[in-house]
Amino acid sequence: MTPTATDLEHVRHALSSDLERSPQHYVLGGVTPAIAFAPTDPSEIAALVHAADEVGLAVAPLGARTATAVGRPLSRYDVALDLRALDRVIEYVPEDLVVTVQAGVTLTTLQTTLREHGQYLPTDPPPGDEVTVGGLLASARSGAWRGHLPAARDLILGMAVALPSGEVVHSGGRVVKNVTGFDMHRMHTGALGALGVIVEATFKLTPLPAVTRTLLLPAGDIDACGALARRVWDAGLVVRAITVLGARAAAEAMLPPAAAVLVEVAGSEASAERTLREIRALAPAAGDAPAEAWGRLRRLAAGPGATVLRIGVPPAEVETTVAALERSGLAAWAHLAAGSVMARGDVAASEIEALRALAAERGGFLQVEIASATLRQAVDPTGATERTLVEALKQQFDPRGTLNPGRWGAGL
Amino acid sequence: MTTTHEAHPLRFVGVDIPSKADLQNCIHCGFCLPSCPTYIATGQELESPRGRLHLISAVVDGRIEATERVLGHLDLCLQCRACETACPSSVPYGRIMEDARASIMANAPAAQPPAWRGRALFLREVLARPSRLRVALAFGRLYTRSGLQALVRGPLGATIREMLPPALVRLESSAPVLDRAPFRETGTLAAPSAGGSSTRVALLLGCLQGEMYPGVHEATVRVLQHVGCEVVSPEGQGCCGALHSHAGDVETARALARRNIAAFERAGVEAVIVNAAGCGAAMKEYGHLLRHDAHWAERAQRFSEGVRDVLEFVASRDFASGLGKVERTVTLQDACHLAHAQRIREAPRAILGAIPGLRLVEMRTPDRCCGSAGLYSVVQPAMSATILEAKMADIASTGAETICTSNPGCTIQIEAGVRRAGLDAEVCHVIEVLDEAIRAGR
Amino acid sequence: MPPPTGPNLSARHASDATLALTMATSSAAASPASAGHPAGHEALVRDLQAALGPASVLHLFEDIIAFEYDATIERALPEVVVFPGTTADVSAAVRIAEQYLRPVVPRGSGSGLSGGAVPLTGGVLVVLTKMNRILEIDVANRVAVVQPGVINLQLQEALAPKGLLFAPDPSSQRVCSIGGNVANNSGGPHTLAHGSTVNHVLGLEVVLPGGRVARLGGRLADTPGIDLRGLFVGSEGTLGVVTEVTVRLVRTAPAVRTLVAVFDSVEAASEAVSAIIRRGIIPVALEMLDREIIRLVEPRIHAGYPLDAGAVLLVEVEGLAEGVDADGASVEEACRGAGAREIRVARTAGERDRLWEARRVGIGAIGAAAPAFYLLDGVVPRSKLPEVMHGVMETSARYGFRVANIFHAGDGNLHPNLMFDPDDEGATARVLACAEEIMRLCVDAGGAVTGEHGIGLEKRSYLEWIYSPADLAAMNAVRVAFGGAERFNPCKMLPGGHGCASGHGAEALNAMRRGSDSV
Ligand SMILES: Cc1cc2nc3c(=O)[nH]c(=O)nc-3n(C[C@H](O)[C@H](O)[C@H](O)COP(=O)(O)OP(=O)(O)OC[C@H]3O[C@@H](n4cnc5c(N)ncnc54)[C@H](O)[C@@H]3O)c2cc1C
Ligand code: SF4
Ligand code: SF4
Repeated sequence: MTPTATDLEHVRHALSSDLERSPQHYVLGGVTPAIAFAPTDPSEIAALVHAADEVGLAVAPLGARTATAVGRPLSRYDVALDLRALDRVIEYVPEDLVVTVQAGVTLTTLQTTLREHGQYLPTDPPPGDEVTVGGLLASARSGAWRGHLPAARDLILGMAVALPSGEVVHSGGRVVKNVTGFDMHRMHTGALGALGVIVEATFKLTPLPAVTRTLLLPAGDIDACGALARRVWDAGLVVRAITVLGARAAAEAMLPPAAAVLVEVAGSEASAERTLREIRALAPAAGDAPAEAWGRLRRLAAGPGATVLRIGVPPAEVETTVAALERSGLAAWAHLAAGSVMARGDVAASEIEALRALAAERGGFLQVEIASATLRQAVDPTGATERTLVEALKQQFDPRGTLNPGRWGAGL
Repeated sequence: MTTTHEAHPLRFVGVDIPSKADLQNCIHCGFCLPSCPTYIATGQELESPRGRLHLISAVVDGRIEATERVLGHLDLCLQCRACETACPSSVPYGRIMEDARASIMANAPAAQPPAWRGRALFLREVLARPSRLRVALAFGRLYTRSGLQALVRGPLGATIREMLPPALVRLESSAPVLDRAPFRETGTLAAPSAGGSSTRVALLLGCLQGEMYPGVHEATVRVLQHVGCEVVSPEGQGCCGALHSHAGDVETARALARRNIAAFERAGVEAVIVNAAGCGAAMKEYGHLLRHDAHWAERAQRFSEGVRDVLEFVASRDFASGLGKVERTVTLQDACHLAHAQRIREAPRAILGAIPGLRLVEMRTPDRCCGSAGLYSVVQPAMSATILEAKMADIASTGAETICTSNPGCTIQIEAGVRRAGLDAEVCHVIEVLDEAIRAGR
Repeated sequence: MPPPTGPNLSARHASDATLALTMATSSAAASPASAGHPAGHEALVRDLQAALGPASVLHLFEDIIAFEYDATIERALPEVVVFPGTTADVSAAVRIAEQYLRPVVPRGSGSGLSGGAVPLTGGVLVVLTKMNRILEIDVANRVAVVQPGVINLQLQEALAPKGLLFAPDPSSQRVCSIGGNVANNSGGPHTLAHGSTVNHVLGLEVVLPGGRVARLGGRLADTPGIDLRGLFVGSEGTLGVVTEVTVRLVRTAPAVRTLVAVFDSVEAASEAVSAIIRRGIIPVALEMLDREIIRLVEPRIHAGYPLDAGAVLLVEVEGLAEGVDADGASVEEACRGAGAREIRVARTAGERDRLWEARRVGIGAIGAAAPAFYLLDGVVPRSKLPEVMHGVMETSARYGFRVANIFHAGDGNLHPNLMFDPDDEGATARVLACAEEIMRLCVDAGGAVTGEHGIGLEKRSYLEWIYSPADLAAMNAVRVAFGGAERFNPCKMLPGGHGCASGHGAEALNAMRRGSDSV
């Protein structure tokens, strides 16, 4: 259903005209929206979403657009809501290790600000730091640090969200420990923008490690790599990432094309030194590797041009999973501590279902991270099972299906 | 919704009603729950210290009456006082429970719960009267000596055991082996040392220890001598009254206390030595027991201050010189009335730890009640057995050949547990092991 | 109920009202005679007995009276108490309660400090203490699966020999249940480094309206889908009953150092907290005990806290031995810089344990020292600690109350304890007024009104200081999505509600007036 001119006029009426943008710049999956806006203020966003809600237009909140191929394709797309103009760091108190930012701030900007005070937001989502904070939270994707450091959903202290009702609502606060009211911010983290538009977020920060080093540990075949990775994990060392690489994945990350373990050491000088010693004792063949390898893995996990799967399995089973995936022609690597196996390549819908069943058998799951719209129609990208509650929440927060309709499947 | 199911629901009456000041100390934090054996066994707030305190409060306030159900919860309490140790708020649970029971027993006899009355009667008429107790124990001794006990417990006894009701079999297996002549001596038990430097102390014979475990008294006297004491056993002493207090028969307890205070005062000693933890705990609380008695309150307080558990006393003196080897694996069961009521935990460990060759293997939660608790094992056999079973499992996992206790009630109970579990281990008082080491060192 | 604002949020309120219960509010700790039963009581009891077995259902006054409290001064009687043994039992109890229009209130060990487990409007109290088995410990994958009634310490003791631990360690860990931890998103001294309970819960099995059993999250972090697990943790039993918890385990650190820094004043110790963080060190624990607390606990535990100190910081750093040395030295420097007059390092595990014992028994020791006390739980940004602590001391002095502070300083999570005698004329009202002023200080400093104990009954009205009606309406919408405010634990967490006493502190005041059973 194409929006009528009256509908569009109603929406335009809500905002000042200088915030309107050309819809041509916001094509998603071949669909051009009817209208596009780049508001600079949360209340403008609330007004826009509310106006669209009133006339039944569908709104897609957009950040850096690195994760638009996550979840089901949109079923309707009328209004593009560009959040990148919401780019202020609202409050940063280094002494409190707490920062409050608007949703359009990129991770690059944020990390630069924080670095000046020796701090950072310890998260490494795909494809890189160009993601906006809003996108980071809405997609809740994590990288190699997950399992060693807290992820976005653990670091979020408070949030402001614009709702189709026209309100901007807050939850949590700016203190590091808080059980005041429901943790609405956790609900929105990972909700793919289906329950509200994240406009502001407060995070808990971490001091930057004094030393970081990347090591490549060749260990023979993939089984040996898995066993070695676990030994490193069990040794209680200061590491920020332990990733088991299949040969194909290693090659794609421009490392020697053989199974290996990639480790990032991060800590104080004394602890890092001890850690390096112990790793060398565990893996005499360990050698330095370029830190860029991590960036490449993050990019690989973000797709363009290929399907990316994230398969959760118990850490004890990552190497067998990586081996199986690589055998079937995919590039696969696994972040050990989170039990998060990434696979990239060409996969058919039927294969995905088979893999999902396999993962479920081991108490795990399969999520299609990035895929063509066709594939995301053919298989449920998340495979999430609890639908009743999600429907009830959607009914409460966005009963007319204004926000990102269809992203959680038909009717959601 | 007042529930008046019973004919005569009771209230608390008399001078011993638990004080609000005591009860108010409870902040309902629940820290005591996981150390309470009956809560562990049931997972039931009503069988927990906090729940019982709340019920007692409610009875004091007149919100509920002491119905049979309420009394049941009070009755299931072992009075082990583990909750006191756990309580960060210093709630005097033991005192509150004794006061509550006393305030029930202060009702007219006809109104008292029959089981409570029966228990008090037994305690008063048997335990507090040496002649009757001795007759009762004589039957026990006869049972052992006649060989009947061995017969029932031996391989041939299987048929007999099958013929008896299970409850009776369990009761039978609780009965101690009474194969030795009792220890009833009074007067000087150990003479002063020649140099005149010795400390004069008195020994409490108690009602059961000397009758059932005379070896403990013998060992105690030898050890006291070893640490430089002159030991006397005053004429006129008797049962300490602990079990009477626990059962709410405070009047009998008070009479017994007065008799003991008088007897020991006459002896003119520096300390009254007790080798049964339950008795020691009670005697240390004579001051409180007689607080309302103008004539006795002060004397009782002074007396209580002079009471020492034998382990506490010995550990504070030079006991470790000249000990011989005792090559054995030992585990220690803390008596509740030593660890919780008297707060003595280090002394038995210090003593056992000083004995060359002895290997002390601690069990899990050594300070958790064994389920003996005075008459408890007889009155609440099911709960007592549940608790004992858990205890025996902990003991068995230590692989100990000797299980040390510091209270005759515990010894009886654990001996029964050893028999039921088919363990190959002996049970004895810590002081007996120390005595053995002293003799081995000669 | 917060005024519904947006058109969408109000959509469900009508259906919510249909559930509104007509039952008599048994704020029934009053005299038994006045507590009449709502209609259908006998049938409710009979059905519950048939489903769970008679031994698992309590309904007589002298039995349920032991379930009218938690560790606060709040009191209210349930109508029936049930002890489920399985998830199916919980499901049946929820179904039956719903059939008789009774609310369900979950209860763990009843150690809560916000009245969360106190059944304000009666109903069916589901006590989870018998569901207390550790179902699985998967060492290789650092995961454990437990029933909700498992005691926090029971799990820690099972994990310790395997070199693992469950990071949330409330000071009440020897009694509180994992279900309670999940419901309250509990913290503890080690939350500073490890985060609250929510960071350590991977999956939940919950019983929802209609007795429906659902699984939220899974055995791994970041299970796909909307994070219902994260929403459920910290929901204080208002969304459903937790019947199984899958938790993430953490490896015990190879080395740990515990030290005590002694200061002349609370303010100086507060300065030191920021000084430590400024050095880029996040200790695993950073706790403060003031003079009042030290004087109460030291004579009982003999840990060596100096009785003349104004305040001490109890600091723990862990990691590799080398890192612990470096961090420990840096913490010492920071403390000295802020005016520490003495620093003691625990040399043995036993010493360390004794130092921590002060933290565990501290609150109880206040109970022994005063006829009554009121424990607050506020949070402020760490950098505001000196100024707010000054305000706390000043305010309580102005009201004439002794105050004892024992709290998670590293997180800025304050616990002032106001000591008073409820028998003093007007004392209770003054305590509440003083508490309110202190909570205002926290909020004005940019903080929050509870860091770990939860909103429960006690702090519902404070929420309005922090959240707008629209914020609260959005929170209420979650409850509506989960079946409405009258099904699970009514009158908790959000202000107002059908049959709920309103007005700040009214509940507390009533409870205190009731006399001896309250402290
Ligand atoms: C001395 C003392 C010190 C304390 N220290 C701390 C501390 O350091 N940190 C801290 O965070 N807390 C602390 N607490 C508070 C309390 O112990 C915690 O909140 C604890 O998590 C409560 O657990 P519980 O099992 O006792 O829960 P309860 O008190 O029984 O219940 C608490 C809440 O959880 C809900 N609930 C319980 N079980 C379930 C379930 N299975 N499903 C759904 N809802 C459920 C109840 O409805 C209620 O709302 C302390 C308490 C005391 C008394
Ligand atoms: S005395 Fe023992 S049995 Fe009784 S409540 Fe205390 S811990 Fe439980
Ligand atoms: S530990 Fe003490 S204060 Fe806490 S509930 Fe038990 S008796 Fe009451």
